[in-house]
Amino acid sequence: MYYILSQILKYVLIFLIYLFLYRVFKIIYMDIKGVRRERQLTSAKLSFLTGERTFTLFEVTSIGRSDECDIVIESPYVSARHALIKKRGKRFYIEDLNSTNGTFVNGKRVKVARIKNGDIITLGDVDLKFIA
Amino acid sequence: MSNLKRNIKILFGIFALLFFSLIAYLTYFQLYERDKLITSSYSVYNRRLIEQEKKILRGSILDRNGIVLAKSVIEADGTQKRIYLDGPAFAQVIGYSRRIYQQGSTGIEKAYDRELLGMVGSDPMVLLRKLILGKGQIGDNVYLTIDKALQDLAYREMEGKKGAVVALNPKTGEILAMVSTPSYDPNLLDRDWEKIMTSPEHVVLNRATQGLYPPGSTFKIITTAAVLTYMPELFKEVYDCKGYVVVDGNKISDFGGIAHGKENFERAFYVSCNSFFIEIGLKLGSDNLEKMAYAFGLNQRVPLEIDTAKNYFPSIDGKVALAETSIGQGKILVTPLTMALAASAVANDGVIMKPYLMKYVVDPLSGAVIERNTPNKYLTPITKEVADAIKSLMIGVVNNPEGTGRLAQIPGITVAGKTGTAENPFGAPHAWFVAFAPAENPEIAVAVVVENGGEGGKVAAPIARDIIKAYLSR
Amino acid sequence: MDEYVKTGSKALKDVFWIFVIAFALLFMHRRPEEANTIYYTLAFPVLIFIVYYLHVRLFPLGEIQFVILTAFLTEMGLIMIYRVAPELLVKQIIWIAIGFGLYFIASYLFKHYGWLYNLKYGEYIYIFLAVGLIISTLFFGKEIGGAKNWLTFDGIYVQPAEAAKVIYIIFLARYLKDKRDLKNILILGAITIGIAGIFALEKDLGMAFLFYTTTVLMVFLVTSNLFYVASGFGLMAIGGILAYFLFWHVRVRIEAWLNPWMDVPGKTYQIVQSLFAIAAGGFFGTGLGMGHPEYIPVVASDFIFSAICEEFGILGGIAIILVYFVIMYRGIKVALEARDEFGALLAAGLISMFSLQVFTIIGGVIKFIPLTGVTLPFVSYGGSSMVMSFFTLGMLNGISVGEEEEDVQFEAQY
Repeated sequence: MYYILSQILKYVLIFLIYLFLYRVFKIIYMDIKGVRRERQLTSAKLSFLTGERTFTLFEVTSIGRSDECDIVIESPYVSARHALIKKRGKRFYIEDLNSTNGTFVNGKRVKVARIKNGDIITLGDVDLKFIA
Repeated sequence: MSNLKRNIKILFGIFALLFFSLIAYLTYFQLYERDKLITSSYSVYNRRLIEQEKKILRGSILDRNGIVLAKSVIEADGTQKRIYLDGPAFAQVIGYSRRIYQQGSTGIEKAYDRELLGMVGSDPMVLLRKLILGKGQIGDNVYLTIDKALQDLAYREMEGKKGAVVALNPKTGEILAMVSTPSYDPNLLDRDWEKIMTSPEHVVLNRATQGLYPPGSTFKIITTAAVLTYMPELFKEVYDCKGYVVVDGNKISDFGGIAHGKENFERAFYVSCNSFFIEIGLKLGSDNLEKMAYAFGLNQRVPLEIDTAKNYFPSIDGKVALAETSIGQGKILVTPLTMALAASAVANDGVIMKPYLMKYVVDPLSGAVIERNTPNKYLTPITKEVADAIKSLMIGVVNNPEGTGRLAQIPGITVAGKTGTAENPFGAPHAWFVAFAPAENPEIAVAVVVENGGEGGKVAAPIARDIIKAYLSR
Repeated sequence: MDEYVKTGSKALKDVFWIFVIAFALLFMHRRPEEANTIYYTLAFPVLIFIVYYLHVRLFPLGEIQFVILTAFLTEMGLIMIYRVAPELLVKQIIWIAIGFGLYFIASYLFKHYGWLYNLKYGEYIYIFLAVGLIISTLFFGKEIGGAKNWLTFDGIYVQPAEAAKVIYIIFLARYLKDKRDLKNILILGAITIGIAGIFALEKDLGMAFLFYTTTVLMVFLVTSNLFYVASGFGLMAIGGILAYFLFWHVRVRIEAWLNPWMDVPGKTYQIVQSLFAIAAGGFFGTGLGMGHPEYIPVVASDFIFSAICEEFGILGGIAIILVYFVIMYRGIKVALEARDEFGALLAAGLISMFSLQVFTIIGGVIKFIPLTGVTLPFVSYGGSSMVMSFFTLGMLNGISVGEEEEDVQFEAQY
């Protein structure tokens, strides 16, 4: 009796072990895909205080004077690659990319900072409003 | 930092490689090493098999017609006893399995150990069915290709002599009889283990597959095959035999120093003239002769379920060696099985079938066939045309009034054969005879060796004749 | 993100069901009489769920997979230990609990690992500590199973080399962060050869190999210099050959690897029994309780992988290897995402040592490489190994968490 049970359950156990492995590898797959998620749009927006333009943010959005940036701001006071806005979990962070004139959140100069709805971000001489 | 990151990725690659090599090796081990490990002679140290063996009634071994040759019974004290019903005749082929006594195993008992213990059929459904049928306690039965009647006859003929007989079906490779003498009674292994193992006559040795002998004149089949294949013009040679030939100052004589006189290839073959074949061999050259010997597998181990010795064919060095090799003397050593296969190549249009001993394995409860051997090609040393030419030469050996194999004649059946009288350093020459019949449509090929028996045509040919006759009139 | 968490908890449930089925079977098979065994066994899944919950709470951005994977490995270890040495089960569960505790402590301790780098004279402290621990057994050690690598305190056996591994990695990371010129690499080489020599004297070849190889790999990481790697392995080959002729026990190991059949009842008994066990298992195994893993010597520690292969088949064995592969992958990822070079080196060193150890012992018991006695992390029976393996993963988790939380710290720096 025990023999039969053991023989049947050994297949069940191997099945469960590989189901477990499948899930572990699925997590890794999601992890790797997560890196590529950078180009996905989020619901957050960034708009010029002057109201001329509004941008929808990606998971990772670069801002600067250079054409390669996601948001291009043509101002002599903005560096070529000035700052990066990243989403992590549900929060958004802004990171200064060693710009000449700095990145300010609500008037305070930051290296990396969390930003919330309504925060005013200043890059060189340009003011932007963050809308979550 | 970026270099560091790149290097860390390389590190990942290295470890990934290491881990996957482990997985690959484990898989390889399970696919290719596992069976070897379980059946190896070292499995005496594997207590699992011993435990299993004690619990399971070992399966029987039967002949091709279902006659029981070996079976296990349970003694009064609950232990198992192996009974060999036709002990000495089958002793070396069937062998023994004495793992539980830490004494190792041989023969069929070793080769089909897992089957006899009922450990094959890892298919879960088979296992489950066995389980429900209350099996798992009885091993599977192994049916051999051997015909018990033929085996017994061969054993009777060989009794009192030293040597071996191999008979097989040239079209399939099924071995019909395989006898090695002197033999022993495997039923006495419990009592006489030491004595049997240390016997000066090496009774445990299977001379048919592990005995190595110079092939003598039976090798002329191969020399002739090389002539017909590589230098057919030599087939027209005519030669005047003086009873000896001098090669580089060495005198090599014909058997008994008989001068055969003027002879063509055909006559030289059926009177088995050494001088002629030496002359031919010297013209043929070492390369051609070696090539053909290799094509017949004379440098290999013949594949078989039980242990076989590796044939010995050193590269031919110099004229004397070439002369000796052309007549099957010198340093060549072959097993009787190999020469039976050489005859079967001629019989089977140039194709040697892979020899085998197990016909099928049967689950005794359900009657289902678990394993089955099917005929497979082993070697194709010669073409059909060459085979046919050699066949007519071999018919001459038996049927020509001057032929050395006259004693193998059977009324109403054309026998084709070749004698051999192999000189050796241990006394009188070994008597050889290889043959097949009926020549028109061969059903059986035989090789007989009688150690120090003398002339092949006188000693070995009658034994082969009786075996062929018995088989064809069954 | 949501699916991420959900898949994780599903995986944990698989671990739970494997546990329930396996132990239900084993209890039927063995009918434990001691109540203790049953209580502790039941406590194990509870422990895992508590750890999982705490981890999600305390380190939302941490390496939660470490918990899932170690839960699986420790569980497979427990199943096999209960099969071959039931009296060790309770102890092993206690060690696992202590291990998880240390995991959390290490996570916090190494979240801000900067202090390890900034510690004055740190380099010297680490190396003296590491070497001291390694040497200690040479003087006070006890020889068990052929190697003199145990200390005993009041009946508790400790393997100081396990702790020395972690300290040595910290030393390596700190040393190689700044010192990469030829002279310093040569000094490091001398230190490593010295350590490997001490291990060789203690007959602990596995550890000698681990320390040495990890050092070579770390030197490669910082210098990208293949010449160092080549000479490192060249020296190892020379050392191996020397050891082969100098030390009897090295010769035995290598000969047993090349020809396991030379002396089955004697020198090669262990490896041959291990191979028999794996062969008996086939692909799907004999089924729990139906094999004879107890025929293998030291099966609960060094040879536990063979026991798993016997009863779970090599499919079970391959699953274990794949889980180590994933742990290795996570460790490499921590190293790649570390915020500075020191962190990256620390993580890379820890995961290298860990992965090499796994390769060494599994490769050894399946006769892929010569056998050296090290434990299979998280699976083998043994307190020191269990606790330090958890500590290692805790450090990696700490490094990873520190990196994630770093953003906030920089706020308002100007």
